[in-house]
Amino acid sequence: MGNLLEVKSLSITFEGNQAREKVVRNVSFSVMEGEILGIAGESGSGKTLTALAIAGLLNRHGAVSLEGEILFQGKNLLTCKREELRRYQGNDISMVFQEPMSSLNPVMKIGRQIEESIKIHGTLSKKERKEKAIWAMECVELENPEKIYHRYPHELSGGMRQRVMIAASLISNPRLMIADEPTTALDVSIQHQILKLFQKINRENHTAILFISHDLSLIYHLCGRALVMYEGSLIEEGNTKEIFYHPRHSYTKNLIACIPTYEKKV
Amino acid sequence: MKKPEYHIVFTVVLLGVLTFLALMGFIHTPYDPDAMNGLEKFAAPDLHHIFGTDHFGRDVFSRVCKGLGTTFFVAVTTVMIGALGGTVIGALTGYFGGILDEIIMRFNDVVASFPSVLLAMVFISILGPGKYNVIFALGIIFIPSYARMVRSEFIKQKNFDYVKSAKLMKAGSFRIMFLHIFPNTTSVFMSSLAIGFNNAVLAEAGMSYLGIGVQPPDASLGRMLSESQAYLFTAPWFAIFPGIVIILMILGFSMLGDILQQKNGGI
Ligand SMILES: Nc1ncnc2c1ncn2[C@@H]1O[C@H](COP(=O)(O)OP(=O)(O)O)[C@@H](O)[C@H]1O
Ligand SMILES: [Mg+2]
Repeated sequence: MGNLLEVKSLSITFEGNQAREKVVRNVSFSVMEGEILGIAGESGSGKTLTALAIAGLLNRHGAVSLEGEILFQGKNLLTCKREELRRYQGNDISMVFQEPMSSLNPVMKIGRQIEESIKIHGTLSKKERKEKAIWAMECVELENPEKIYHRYPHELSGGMRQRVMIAASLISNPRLMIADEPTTALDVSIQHQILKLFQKINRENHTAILFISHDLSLIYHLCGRALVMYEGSLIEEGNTKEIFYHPRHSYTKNLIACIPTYEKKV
Repeated sequence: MKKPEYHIVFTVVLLGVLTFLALMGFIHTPYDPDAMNGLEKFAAPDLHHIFGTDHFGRDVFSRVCKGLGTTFFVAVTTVMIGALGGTVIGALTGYFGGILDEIIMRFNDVVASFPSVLLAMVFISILGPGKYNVIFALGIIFIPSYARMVRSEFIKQKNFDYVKSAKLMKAGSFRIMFLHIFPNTTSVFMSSLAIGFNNAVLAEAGMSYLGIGVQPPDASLGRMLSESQAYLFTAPWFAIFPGIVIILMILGFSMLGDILQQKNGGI
């Protein structure tokens, strides 16, 4: 299997008034077609910024400067033209955010939000869009999709909202789905359902998933391979089991020590 | 909604009655509001003239209806100009930020630091008095307050993940601004429409009272107050009825603003 995404020496710097703060330093990794890659690390270690950079959500001209390369199917997303970006980002690359409360628009019906990306990118009729939305909602195991289609976010539970978010990012048939702490805001029992859902999507649609979490145990359950970030740098990379049982870095050992003991026996 | 919400019923009835009177002013009034009658000057309220007559013998009720219509019209169009202009400016500056935002907002601060009636007087002294000039002047003057309100809502909303999500889908800036973000500002926006409406009513009344607003023979509530003040003791009905109608109008729209805010805050 080839590389779908290749990040080469990515650095992200915030240009303040006086201070320049490098918050992601020289990070390189790749995501293969159809794999689930985990990124672990405590909060503030630069995981979200890395994800946003790949999704193209760090303003190219703002107070942020990006160095390095982000190659998606061989194309450098940091230098290619707007039209090409449109084809990849939001279409081939989609993203699920941490807070299912704020990542859905409170005054827009669920159905419209799920359809938004194919509405912008595609040429489907209203009826075809709805069919696809219902399909996506069935994929994420939302019950009564026809009903939920006409609901507003505040009428749904947190777990359902996150499923809606996943449906919205699934509908364009992305090659890569970035999930940034998608279960952090949810109850433990629902966390497991959502993890299962990611596994299913990965298996059935061959969507590669970049799964970001501060919780190494989730990554252990879900991902074959994982990275560990610490203060903006990659300090560990490899097979998840390898990392879990033979951590090279003392920071990784501490992360593992943070996991409640009953989980470690699994 | 177990308990009947009396304040809503009251607001609806009050605004309904006022709207009905204003419509009467446009369509049909019991007497010609401009017809003078020297024999019936200062007639006290009775069954023929329920609000009495004024210093030219004109029927005060008919004039209140017509004046209410004028005041309504001026207030609605003024708020429309202010809200439309303010929304566009506020959305652009709030969403994009940057140097243009700085410049426009400082200009806004300058405009907002003058009382609106004073600014309107400056406009009128250039344009001349009259209904349409009042609308134009007040409309322009109300733009900054709407712009400020919409801008702060946009600054708040643009950092939410749903906007990032829309950006990731490569929705255009205008699509994000007006389809995604703007509907989220409606609760604040609607209640500020009601407040703006009240400000417009007061400003129009004030300007007409000062003689720089609506010009005779057009009736307006403020104009009637201004004409009536010389006869306050001999013919109090001439001042009292237009005054009461202004008060009821302000009351009705203030309550409407409160209700809209409460209803939307509940989500
Ligand atoms: N807009 C910003 N301006 C300055 N620093 C920022 C900004 N956003 C994030 N950072 C910094 O970048 C670092 C990495 O943030 P982030 O990628 O969100 O971490 P994580 O997702 O791993 O918790 C943090 O130390 C944070 O303080
Ligand atoms: Mg984060």
